[in-house]
Amino acid sequence: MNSSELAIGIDLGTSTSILSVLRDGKPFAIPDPQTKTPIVPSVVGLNRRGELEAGQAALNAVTDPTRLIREAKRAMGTSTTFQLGQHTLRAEEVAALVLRKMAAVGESYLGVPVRKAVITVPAYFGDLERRATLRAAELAGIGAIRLISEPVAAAAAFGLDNHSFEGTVLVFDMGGGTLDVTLLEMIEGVLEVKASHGDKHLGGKDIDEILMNHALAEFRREHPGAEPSQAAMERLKRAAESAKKMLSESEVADIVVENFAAHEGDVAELCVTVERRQFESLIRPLIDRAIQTVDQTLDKAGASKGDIDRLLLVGGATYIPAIREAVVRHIGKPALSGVDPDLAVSQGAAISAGLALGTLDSTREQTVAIVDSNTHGIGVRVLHIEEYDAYPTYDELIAPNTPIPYFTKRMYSLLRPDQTELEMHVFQDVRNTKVLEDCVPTGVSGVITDIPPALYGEPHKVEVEFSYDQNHIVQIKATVVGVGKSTTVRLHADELSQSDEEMAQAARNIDQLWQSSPLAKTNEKLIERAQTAIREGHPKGELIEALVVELKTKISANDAEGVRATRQKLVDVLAEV
Amino acid sequence: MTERVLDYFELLGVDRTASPDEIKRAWARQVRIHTPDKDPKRNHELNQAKATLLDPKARKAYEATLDYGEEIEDLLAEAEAAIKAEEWDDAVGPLKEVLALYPDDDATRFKLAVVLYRADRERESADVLWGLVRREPNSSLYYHWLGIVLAELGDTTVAEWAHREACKFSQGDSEPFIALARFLATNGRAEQAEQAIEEAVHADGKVDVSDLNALLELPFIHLAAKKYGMIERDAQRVRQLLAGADPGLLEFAAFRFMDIADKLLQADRYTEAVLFLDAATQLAPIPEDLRGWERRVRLLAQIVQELGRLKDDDLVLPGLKGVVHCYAIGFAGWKVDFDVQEYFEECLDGLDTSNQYTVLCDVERLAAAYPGLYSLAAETLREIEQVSKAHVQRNPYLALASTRRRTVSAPGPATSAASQTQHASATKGQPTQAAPAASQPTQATSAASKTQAAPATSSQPQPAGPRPPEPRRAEEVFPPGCSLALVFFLLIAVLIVVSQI
Ligand SMILES: Nc1ncnc2c1ncn2[C@@H]1O[C@H](COP(=O)(O)OP(=O)(O)O)[C@@H](O)[C@H]1O
Repeated sequence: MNSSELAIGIDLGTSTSILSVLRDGKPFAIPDPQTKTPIVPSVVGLNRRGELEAGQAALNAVTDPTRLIREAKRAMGTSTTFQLGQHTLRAEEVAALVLRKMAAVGESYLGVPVRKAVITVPAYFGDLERRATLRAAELAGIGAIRLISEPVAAAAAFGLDNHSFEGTVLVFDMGGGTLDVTLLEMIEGVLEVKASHGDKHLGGKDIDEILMNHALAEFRREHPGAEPSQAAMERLKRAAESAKKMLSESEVADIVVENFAAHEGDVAELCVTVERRQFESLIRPLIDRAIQTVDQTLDKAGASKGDIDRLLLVGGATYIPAIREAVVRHIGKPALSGVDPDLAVSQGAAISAGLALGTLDSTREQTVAIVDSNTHGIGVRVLHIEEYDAYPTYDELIAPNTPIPYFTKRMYSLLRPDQTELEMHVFQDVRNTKVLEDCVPTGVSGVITDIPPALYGEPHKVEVEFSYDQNHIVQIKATVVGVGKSTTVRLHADELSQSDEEMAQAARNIDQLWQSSPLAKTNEKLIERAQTAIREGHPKGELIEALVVELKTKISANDAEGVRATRQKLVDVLAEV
Repeated sequence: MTERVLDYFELLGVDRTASPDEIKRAWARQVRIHTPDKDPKRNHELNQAKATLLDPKARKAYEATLDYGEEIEDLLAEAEAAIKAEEWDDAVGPLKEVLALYPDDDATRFKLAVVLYRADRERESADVLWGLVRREPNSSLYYHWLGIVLAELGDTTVAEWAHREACKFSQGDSEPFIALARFLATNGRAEQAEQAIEEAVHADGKVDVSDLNALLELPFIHLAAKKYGMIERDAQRVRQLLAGADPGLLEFAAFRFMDIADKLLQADRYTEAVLFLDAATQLAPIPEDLRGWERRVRLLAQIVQELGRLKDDDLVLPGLKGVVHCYAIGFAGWKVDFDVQEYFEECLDGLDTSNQYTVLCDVERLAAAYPGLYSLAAETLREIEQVSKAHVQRNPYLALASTRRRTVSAPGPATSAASQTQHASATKGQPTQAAPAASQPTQATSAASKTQAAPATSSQPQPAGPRPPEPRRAEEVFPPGCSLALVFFLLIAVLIVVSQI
């Protein structure tokens, strides 16, 4: 199969990632050959030899918490950095390594390189986080066909299975770090997002923390004065998480951490037993917040509980019976069975890839099409002038819950005829009030300088072209009419923007790190396959031979860039039919 | 002229009578063909079509545009042209025709109400607004305007009700509260107006930069209620509000104060104007190009005050009083009911016949005690002085008299030398006869730019504020007895001055 026709979706999760591919029009989650499960921890680390490890292997091999990075996604779109040995990585660089791992999972199973994929992001991700995700894909050498919101992807997975369903679907997506609630309407095979709302700090991790604190309090009561080390706390975190998972199936679970802390000249063990009933009362406040988020989503869509026809529970945290029950009871509809809470998002991403690439024909019966919408209004800051009054206001360019992609044009004017500069700032109306003071700058802005003074004393007109694409990325082009000056508003927040050179440098770093990965046997495998091809009398045997030699030289020269280029050429030749 | 209206019905493939459900289904079928991936623009159009046709109000508006788009557009253009030319009555017709074609066009209906109001057809305007209020009973804007129009009609009770309704539906917007405050202030209810302003400030639940407009209304209220003492405090509040804000905003606020000062200036209320000017300088420095204007305001306030004193000052000859008064009239552009030119000449004639020592002393007194007025008439006064001096030098007898008189007349501590310096500083850098820089803080034109050289009458509307002292009649002014030589000298002087004018 030609690699470019593969419809691949990657659920790039906070705690776990999953890659799915469309086979005969149905999504299929690809298992990691090492663990035999498609659920791959979104973790990277350095093992004792200083080599990169990713996924479950990193969790297994890396014991030193300072050489392990988890949950980097929470810092996506910020300037926060992570330390991995002597490497300093930004969130998108960590994400790039995770994506490489996922690509390796896909390649090992499919036998062809993964070059493009649809990548999922939480619905609440804003412009910066989405742009960072796109950069992560670029750094990993994967073309992002597009981004898709996780709950929308989950709904797509449901939609493909239930293409003749018509009505309203509520997706409750509670993962490791966040809760996303999305209301969709399906008609004639088209899934349309009506409203989306989320809580950025409500997920499995918060539940782990509650359990951790509970266990720690119990331990301290028995061992006053004992102070655990950071490494011990790391182990407690893992123990708490596994106890939480355990409690999804059984009535009691033990949180056990050996050698937890020094106490009275001895080393004390932490051992706390938690009953499900107790656990449920501990997390009750979180559950209440989750239910509130559901109600807020319905409010935003102007809908009520009675309007919901189907309830979809996705995300690892919805395995917790108390959470499932609370949502089901509140909505008054059973949760849909047949939707895998772990896999639905990645499956939906693969469907979205199929739709985008055309391997899945949306015009045919038994398929779906997806219409997403934006969550928050977006606008620019303008000075509103009315006789003697002039005050800065927020001028909305796209209202919340507008179907996307969306395009619009607006005419403004400069303030003064002799104005030489124009600054445009894009604001997000996070509280839906349309009041400038409530809006937050998106960090997206643009400047036009050296505007010649206007003749006839009338200030120049400024045409603003706004687009909001289906990746939820804003583009604004402002043109000073009649002067031929324009600006495309772009990332401004200095510490976040990267020049092409910095991008290239980052790409080289990622590549180097990846080359150190024992998992990155792909080169060896590729060379192996190339040699088989030559043996079997491939029509382009000579070319392949030359490329293999080139690749080997470059590997030994540690020329990451060169390795990548040559590897690509080799792959292209081998992938031809 | 315009892009053709996209036919949403055609785009979706439904007919004009399509039900919402048919529209939704047609949309979905089209979206599956023109997905966001394949054809983003078309997909966007489909979404717009669906959103428009599923909203009953928007659908009506769209259908009107589709059916009568061109006609409506032409009519609106016609109305706009009339509005731009401020031919309000001519705008009424086309707007009504638009409404005949598309009765649900509330925006145009509202425009009609505003145009009728501008055309002084308040009764009709109120009727249109009542109609709008009935159609849209929760619209703050319509009540707001109804309040304004009814107030104009003198129906203050209902006007107040309308303003309060506007506040009720304001949804955090402070404008209706400001309008209410304005209404109350003009009806002499300053306290309640202040209260409305406080509500405006808190309308959106916080006190921040967005409340600037509300606070800037306070000086108007205090002006109307003659609570001049509050004006400095108003400026202080604005400054507190804007602490740490963009300096541009402070400048803007300062302009608002200067704007009020300018209005007061035109109403000849100079003392109050200076109060606002001072408040403005508290907020931001006066821009370079308005310095001339600022000096003019301050000088006007000063000369009015000086004229008030001068009127009852028996130690200044009536002829000199007349001369400086003429300059003041010319500078301020006051309208007077006598011929200034003629009066000016009469005054000069009168000085010829006065005791020249007295003239000399009195000019000195003018310079010392009335620096503002002196600076206006400095050139003429200096010439009068020279003529008198020449005369006195040739007449020692009079010199004695002058010394005697000086002991009587010198007011306060101002010695001759001191008066010279004071005079110099008062006039330093001041354009005395040429008009001050004409740039104004707002669009409002000021009489300043029209004023050219001194004595000249200006065609100002009757000012409302305190009047300058009435000039005395010629009969009172001229004491008898004067030398022929002096008459001769003075005549030359007058000729020089007059030819300059
Ligand atoms: N059986 C289970 N019971 C309770 N929690 C679970 C279970 N399985 C996974 N989780 C929790 O779900 C979270 C991860 O969910 P996931 O959907 O993978 O999130 P993300 O998309 O953020 O990676 C983790 O906090 C994990 O502990």
